[in-house]
Amino acid sequence: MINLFNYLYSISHVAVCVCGLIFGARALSRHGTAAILTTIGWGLFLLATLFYFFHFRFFFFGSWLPLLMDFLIYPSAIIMILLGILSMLTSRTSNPIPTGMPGNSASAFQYQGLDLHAEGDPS
Amino acid sequence: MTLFENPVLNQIFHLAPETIVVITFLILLLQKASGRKEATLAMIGCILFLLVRLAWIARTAMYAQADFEIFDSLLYQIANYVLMLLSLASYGLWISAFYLLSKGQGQLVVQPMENYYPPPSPGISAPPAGMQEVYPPQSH
Repeated sequence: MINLFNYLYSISHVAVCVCGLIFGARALSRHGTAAILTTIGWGLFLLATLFYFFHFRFFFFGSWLPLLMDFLIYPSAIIMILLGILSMLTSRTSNPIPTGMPGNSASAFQYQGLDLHAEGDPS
Repeated sequence: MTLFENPVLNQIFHLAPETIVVITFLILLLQKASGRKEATLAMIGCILFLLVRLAWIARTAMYAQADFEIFDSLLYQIANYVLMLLSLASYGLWISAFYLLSKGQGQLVVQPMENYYPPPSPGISAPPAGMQEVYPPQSH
């Protein structure tokens, strides 16, 4: 039973990483750098997950490889995933919704239309 | 590879890099994008991630000190799998934050020009001379 749960956990972990990869890849066309960062991050995460899955079942126990994973692969994967989110958030902050768009009632420069008629024009 | 004799110290040593990274990003998210829905999701994900790591350290401390019969109990097993699910949920929150951000930004690109400029008044087929200087052609 415990082994079954462990397998289920590993499989769901891999599934989450694949989901992250898919969402990152889908955003590649629209959001260049942020999507690349996220895709590489989830790819590294998937690599580390697969490594741990095989590591604990077969070999390498007591070697320096888990240390490499914990100090290099996992942190860099998390840095890339969160940097992708953060860069999208900050790019949104630095490029706000253009002024004059409908719904942007906070804009002080909302387009009011151009009055083409001179004052006193009978039409 | 074990650097310390104490398993709790070993666990803290192994979890330290990712924990430091997530704490740093949590502070950055709080500073730069506090109040947005997507940022809130990412922040909840970071907090869940940190809580799960803290619980893992506590579990290792229990391993080191407590009676081993505890680990066969159903409550312990349930707590263990709840932690696993919470860990997955934190990753899921990061993915959904990214998805919402990418979806929200994509919608800005497909806004039609009619939303930016109203249709011309009836009877006016072309802008009068000099209007190009006032309203330069927009490029997408």
